[in-house]
Amino acid sequence: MKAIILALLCIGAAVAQQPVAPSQESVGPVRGDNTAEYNVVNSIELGYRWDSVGGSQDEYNSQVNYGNGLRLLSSSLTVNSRDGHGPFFDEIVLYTQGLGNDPYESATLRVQKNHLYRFDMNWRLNDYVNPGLVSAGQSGGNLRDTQYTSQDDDLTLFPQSKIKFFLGYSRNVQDGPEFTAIGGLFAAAPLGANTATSERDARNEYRIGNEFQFLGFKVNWMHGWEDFKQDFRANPQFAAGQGGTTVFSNPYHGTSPYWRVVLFTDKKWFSMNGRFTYTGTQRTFISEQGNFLGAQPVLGLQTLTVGAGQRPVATGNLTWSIFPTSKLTITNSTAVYNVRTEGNAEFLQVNNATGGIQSQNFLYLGIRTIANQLDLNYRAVKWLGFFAGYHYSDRFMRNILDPSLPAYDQTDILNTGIFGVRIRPIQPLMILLDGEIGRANHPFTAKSERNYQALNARTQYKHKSLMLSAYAQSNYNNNSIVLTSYASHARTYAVNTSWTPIRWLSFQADYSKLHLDTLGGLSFFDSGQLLTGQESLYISNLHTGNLGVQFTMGKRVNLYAGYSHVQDAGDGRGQATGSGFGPNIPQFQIAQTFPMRFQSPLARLSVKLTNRVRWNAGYQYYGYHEDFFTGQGLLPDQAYRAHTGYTSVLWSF
Amino acid sequence: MLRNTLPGALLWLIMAAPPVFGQKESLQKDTVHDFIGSDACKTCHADVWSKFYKNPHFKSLASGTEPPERTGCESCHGPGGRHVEAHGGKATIVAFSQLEPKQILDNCLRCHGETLPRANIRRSQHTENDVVCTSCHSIHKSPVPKFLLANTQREVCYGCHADVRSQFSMPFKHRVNEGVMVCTDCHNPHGAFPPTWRNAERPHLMEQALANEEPCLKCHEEKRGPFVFEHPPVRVEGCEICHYPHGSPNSRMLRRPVVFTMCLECHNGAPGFGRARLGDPVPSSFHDLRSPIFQNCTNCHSHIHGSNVDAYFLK
Repeated sequence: MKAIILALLCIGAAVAQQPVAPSQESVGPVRGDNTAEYNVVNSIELGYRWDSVGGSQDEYNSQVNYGNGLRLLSSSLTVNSRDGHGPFFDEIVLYTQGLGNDPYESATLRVQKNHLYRFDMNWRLNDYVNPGLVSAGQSGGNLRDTQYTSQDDDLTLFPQSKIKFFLGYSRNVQDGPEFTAIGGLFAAAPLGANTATSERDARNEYRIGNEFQFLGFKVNWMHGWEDFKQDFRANPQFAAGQGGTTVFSNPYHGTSPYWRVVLFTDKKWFSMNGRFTYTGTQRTFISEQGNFLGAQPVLGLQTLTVGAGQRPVATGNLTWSIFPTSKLTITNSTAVYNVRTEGNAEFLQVNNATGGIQSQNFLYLGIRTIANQLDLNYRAVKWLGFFAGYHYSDRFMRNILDPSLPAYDQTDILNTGIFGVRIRPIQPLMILLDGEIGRANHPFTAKSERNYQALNARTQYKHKSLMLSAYAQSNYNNNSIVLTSYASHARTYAVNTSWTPIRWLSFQADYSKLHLDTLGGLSFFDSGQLLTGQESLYISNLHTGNLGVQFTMGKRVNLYAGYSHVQDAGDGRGQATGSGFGPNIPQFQIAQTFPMRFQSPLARLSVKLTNRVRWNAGYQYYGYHEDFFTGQGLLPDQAYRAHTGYTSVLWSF
Repeated sequence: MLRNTLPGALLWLIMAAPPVFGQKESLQKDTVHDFIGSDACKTCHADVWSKFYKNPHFKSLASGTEPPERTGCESCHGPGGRHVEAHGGKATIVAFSQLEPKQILDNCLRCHGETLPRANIRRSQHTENDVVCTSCHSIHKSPVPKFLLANTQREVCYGCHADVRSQFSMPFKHRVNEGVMVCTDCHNPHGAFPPTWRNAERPHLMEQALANEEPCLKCHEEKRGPFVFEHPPVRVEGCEICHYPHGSPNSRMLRRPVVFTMCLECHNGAPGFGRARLGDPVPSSFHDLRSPIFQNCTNCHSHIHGSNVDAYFLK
């Protein structure tokens, strides 16, 4: 029995763990049905999904969020003209997923007629719950539902001709909680009470463009406008007993017009392209807060902040490749990037008896980066190739923190070298080794890349249906200075395999380990005393495995079983608090590692009832557990266990 | 020695190069007389032909106006005259299974080269590692209806990037496995322009939003700004300075399980960093980090990505 279980586990290593529904199996005739002018392939999957959650429902909603109810789990339709000369269209492709109240819904549509037009639409809905960032005694209220919908529409006219036209429209809407510490920094009652309200962000983007030939170059230009609006649906209010009647409104609107021009030419001995963009973001805002510090009427204040800001961004890229020999490609890419943030704002504050106005400039932030990358790609012999590159970038920043103060200028120069070798000793086997080393002289933050190196090794064996791959990566960054230290060392190891040994059996497995240790310098106040020169060592040993196996039994039954496991072993300690590295304060000791487990086995059965109908059923379990934080003082118990499942009918008509 | 030799070698390379230019792989060297049209292919390759009308490349055949070297089967596989005379054989035609990666790339780029998404394909990390068109695309047996991919997009990418598959298996992640996002929402697998954040290093095949901004802003547009009070690392370093973009064991895909340690790793007063190079400020004295209130910085500093109202990002 043990041997059977072990064998099943080994086989089970597998398919990317994805939600148990919709079903992956197809239904109906593979080649579809022919009408006079078109071929049609279609299917719909209608089903019922259920869930049963124990433990933290909020955390389940943050991580998984599948619920109960009837769903159009999936549908697909493809229509193709059989001779490429359909009367109104030559192709329709329509795919949907999860419609009817699944938290993750999508619809993709393509309609095209050869040489005349092509229309692409992509609609998505992502319904999730903001995961909690809560401290003991501060319930924050972050665990609230957020709905995000996006839609992209693109129409291309004359897609196969030398002159094309592009029209596009995108719309994103995010509806959910917004958090603000409106009580102010020193308000006694609401301090830390991260007050939630309801907010709606809407983005509309319009695009128009064209492509044509000019003097041997292909020219592609695009002009777009992105309008953005952020408004409260409901003004934030303090929780009962925590304050008075503070009202806060904060509309924030703006537009981001942009231009992009690209030129290409691709000749026999060289290719070249240039890309130039300009984005001119503007935003206006007005914030009004009434009865500020309302819990203390004596200090009751009203404030009004209005202003407008600009953030123009300009970029230019010029890339050329030459082919001196059939074995060598030399590519050079030069990039220029320039951005500045500027504007002004006025701040009006009124108390019971007096009023005042104060002008507050935007804190100016300008960044200009010039970068050049030269790469050589050389294939020495059929089984051996090399690449190497040298990258240089120069980033200049100007900061103005107050108009009365001089500007702060700083320049960061980064030199990077890359090198790689490709070896193919036999046709199915590929071995890749590459490395990168970089040196920056003035990084912006204490944990930015300063002296870093990355080493990668990858091997892949692919023969018929068998694929084996292994990957190892090491990233090291050292940003230490005299007064503080920062060193980050990440190592990743991964193996992956998939195999279909016989027609009715296939499996896939992967495992990866991510080791991360980061040493950072800290300074902070402990009970009113400033502690400097402290260090934090965060250690993570994250193991992830996916297993899956698919059986086809006879001509009618498909069975899929899978298992996904994520586990952070932490730094190996057995207790939350200990005498680990760094400040000997319990809160820091706990925060230096995060052992947890997240596991999800699933099984799905699909039975072919007729040539055009399948019945499906599936079950998926989700289990989440935090070793140290569960029940500890820092966070409330966020563990959960969830049983989910579905049954559906997949039908081709 | 090296200083004297290197310029000379470069000069030699430049001067020697023109006579050998023109050696980009061209696999269609035969004369126009060898082109015989796609009808001849039907007889032996009936399985491919029977569904070829669903293939995007069928457009070249349906139009009837393209030159022979850009029409139907011979647009990719070259002239078929010798192949027919020899009654088949991979040596008599352009067979992609026999081509080296660079030859495959050159062959496809004859038609697909002058396009914006492929502007950086010659120097992309995929090309440098011999990942070329047919590594991801299956021209005749694609199981998906768009882009002729060899599998669903995430499976194509996961096939090599097992570590990324693991990241999307984490409890907190972008919903790629759930089907509402795909890798190309953020990445351009054909090559990327240098990023306009950090110091333009390590592009990671990122596809920029609004022509020149970090792709995160395509969806998280409320964080675009400008704000009166910007949190500079967001602009200078990009979102990854605090977040794992694929997935994380930590809430909000943060790099640390508890917020305060992540913030304090920068806000430690070490000189040389920050706007004025005077160090990122240490939290003021009333932030007693033994108190739970102060261990979750974003409880109060809720608008940490930027604010128009408060210099401390409180609202």
